[in-house]
Amino acid sequence: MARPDCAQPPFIPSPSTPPVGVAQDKLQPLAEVEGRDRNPLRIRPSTSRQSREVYPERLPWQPAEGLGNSVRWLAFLLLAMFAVPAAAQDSLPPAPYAYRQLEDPAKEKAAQDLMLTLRCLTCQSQSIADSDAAMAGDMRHQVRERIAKGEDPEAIRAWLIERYGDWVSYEPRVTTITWPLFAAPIVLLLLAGVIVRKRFTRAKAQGDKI
Amino acid sequence: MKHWAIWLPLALFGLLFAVFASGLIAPGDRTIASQMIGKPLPDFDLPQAVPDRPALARADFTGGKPKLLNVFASWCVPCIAEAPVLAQLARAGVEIDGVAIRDRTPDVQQFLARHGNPYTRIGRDDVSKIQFDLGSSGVPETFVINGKGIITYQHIGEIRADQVPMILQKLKEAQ
Repeated sequence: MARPDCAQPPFIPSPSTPPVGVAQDKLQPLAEVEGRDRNPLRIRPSTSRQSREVYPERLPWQPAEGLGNSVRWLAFLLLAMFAVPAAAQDSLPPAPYAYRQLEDPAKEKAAQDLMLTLRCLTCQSQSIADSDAAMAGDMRHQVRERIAKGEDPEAIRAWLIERYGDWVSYEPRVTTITWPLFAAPIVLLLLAGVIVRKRFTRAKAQGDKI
Repeated sequence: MKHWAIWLPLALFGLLFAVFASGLIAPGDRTIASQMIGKPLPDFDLPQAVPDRPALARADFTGGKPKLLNVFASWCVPCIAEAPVLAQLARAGVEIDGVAIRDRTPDVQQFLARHGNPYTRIGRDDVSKIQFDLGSSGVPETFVINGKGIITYQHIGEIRADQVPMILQKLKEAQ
C-alpha cells in the first residue's frame, strides 16, 4: 500500500464502509482500485503540480535545458523560418497575359523564347518565364501584349535594356565590358594551337636524334 | 617547360580565390538603377485611384515646376514608414503625385485614411506598366521630374526622415 513517490495516498474506500451518496453497485472491489492505482500513468500525483507552481511552465520560444525543450525550441525556429511579413502581397489578380498563352502558337513561341532570356526584377537569378513574382507576371503581360501587336522580340528586349540596362537581359551583348567573354575562347584556342605545335616540333626533333 | 611555369596553377588558384573571397566579403549591390535619368518621362495616362484625387498623366509633369512622382501601394510595408516623411515633404510645399501599383480603390482609401494623404494626384496602375516605363523595379520608389518632364533623380526604397534635405536639394537642382 505504501508508495514512496506518492506524498498523499488517495482515499481507498473499504467495501465495509461505503461513502455517503455512492450507490453500492458503483463501488469497485479493492483489488481493482489498487490495480488501477499501480498504473504508471496514474501514480504521479501532486509532485508535478507542485513543481509547476514553483517553476511556471516555459513558453515554447523560451530556450530551456533538457532534450524535450531543445526539440521544442528547434521546432519553433523551423516554424519561424517560414514566417512571412503580413500583407506584403497585393490582392489583385495577375495581369491578363501573365499566365495565359497567346492564341497564335507562333507568337506564343516567340514570346516564350524572349521571356526565357529576360531577367526577373524581383527574383534576380530567375528569368521572367520561371518566376512567380507579381512583377515578373506583369512583365510577361507586357511581352505577350507587345508580341501580339506584332512587335519584334529584339525591339522589346531593347525597350527593356533602355530602362534597366544590360542587366535585364540574359543574352550578353558585345560591349567594352563583355568583350573578353567573346575573345576568351578564340585566345584559348590559339594558345592551345601554339602549345601543340611546340610539342610536335620537339617530339620530331627528338625522334630525329634517335 | 620553363621552371616558372609550375607556379601557374597556384597563381590561378590564388586569383580565383581572391575573386570569390571578394564576392563573399563584399557582395555586389542588388539594386537596379534606372537608365532613364536625364531622359524624358515616357507617355502614360492612368485612371483615378481614389475619388477625391484627380487621375495622373504625363501632361501633369510639364507645368514648369519640379515634382515628385512616388510609386507606392497599400500592400507595401515600407510605404507605411515612408508616409509621414512624404507628409513632411508635402508640408514643405513639394507637390507629390502618386501611382498606386496593383491596388484596389478601397485598399488605397484605407491606406490614405490611416497613414495620411500627401498626394496631389493619384493614378492607378494594375499591371505595373509605369514601373517598366520608368525603369523602376519595386515599391516604393520616388522620381524627381523637372518642369519640362525630364526625369532627374531616382530614389530606390522609402525616403527616410534624414533624407528629406537631400530630396529638397534634388528638387532645387531640377529647377
